[in-house]
Amino acid sequence: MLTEPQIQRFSRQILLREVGGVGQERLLSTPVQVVGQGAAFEVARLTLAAGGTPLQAGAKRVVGSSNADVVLAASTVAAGCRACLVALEARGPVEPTLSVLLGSLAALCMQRLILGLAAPVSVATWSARGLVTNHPKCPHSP
Amino acid sequence: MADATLDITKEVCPMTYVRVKLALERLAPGQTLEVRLVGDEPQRNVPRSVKEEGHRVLEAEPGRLLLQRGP
Repeated sequence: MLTEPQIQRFSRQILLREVGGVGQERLLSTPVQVVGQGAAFEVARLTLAAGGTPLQAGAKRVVGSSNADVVLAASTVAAGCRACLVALEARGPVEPTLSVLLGSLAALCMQRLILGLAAPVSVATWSARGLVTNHPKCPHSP
Repeated sequence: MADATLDITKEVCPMTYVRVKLALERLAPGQTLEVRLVGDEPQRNVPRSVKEEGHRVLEAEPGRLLLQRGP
């Protein structure tokens, strides 16, 4: 049940058809671990937090094996991970506007997963070069 | 007799519809909500938003709406 301060704070989101009070409760009660680095990571983290999603403490910097400039990954508890996460990884300099765009996109993907508006995925990656692949294994699975 | 009542006479936009939306979410499909309101803006906008989200406006008169939660 949303508290009065929560109703006041998130009223604009509650108005959205896809969110409502039930969706906002989900956003508020689904901890997300955000890992990654750079501007995209910061934007994703701030966007999720602004939407009410509690952020779990965790490693901020992740180095993976991908050759992509930017990797976006989102997963949910329902997909078998212990914690929901959005991971953004930059292996080289990324154009700032792209980083902000990717950060926003990552947060949106995560929120849609939490709200049940998107099919749960184990891990999907999207590279800055436009290559979409399936990650063989969630790096945060037990 | 409505299943629930809601007074939004002291609210302003957008909280008028936020209160209505939250109240409708607490009802089961088919149940009714009586809303007390004041002013032209909510009288005009609340029924429109209610219909857009799949609910029904059973009665609308100045200062009062009777809504039914959709499926």
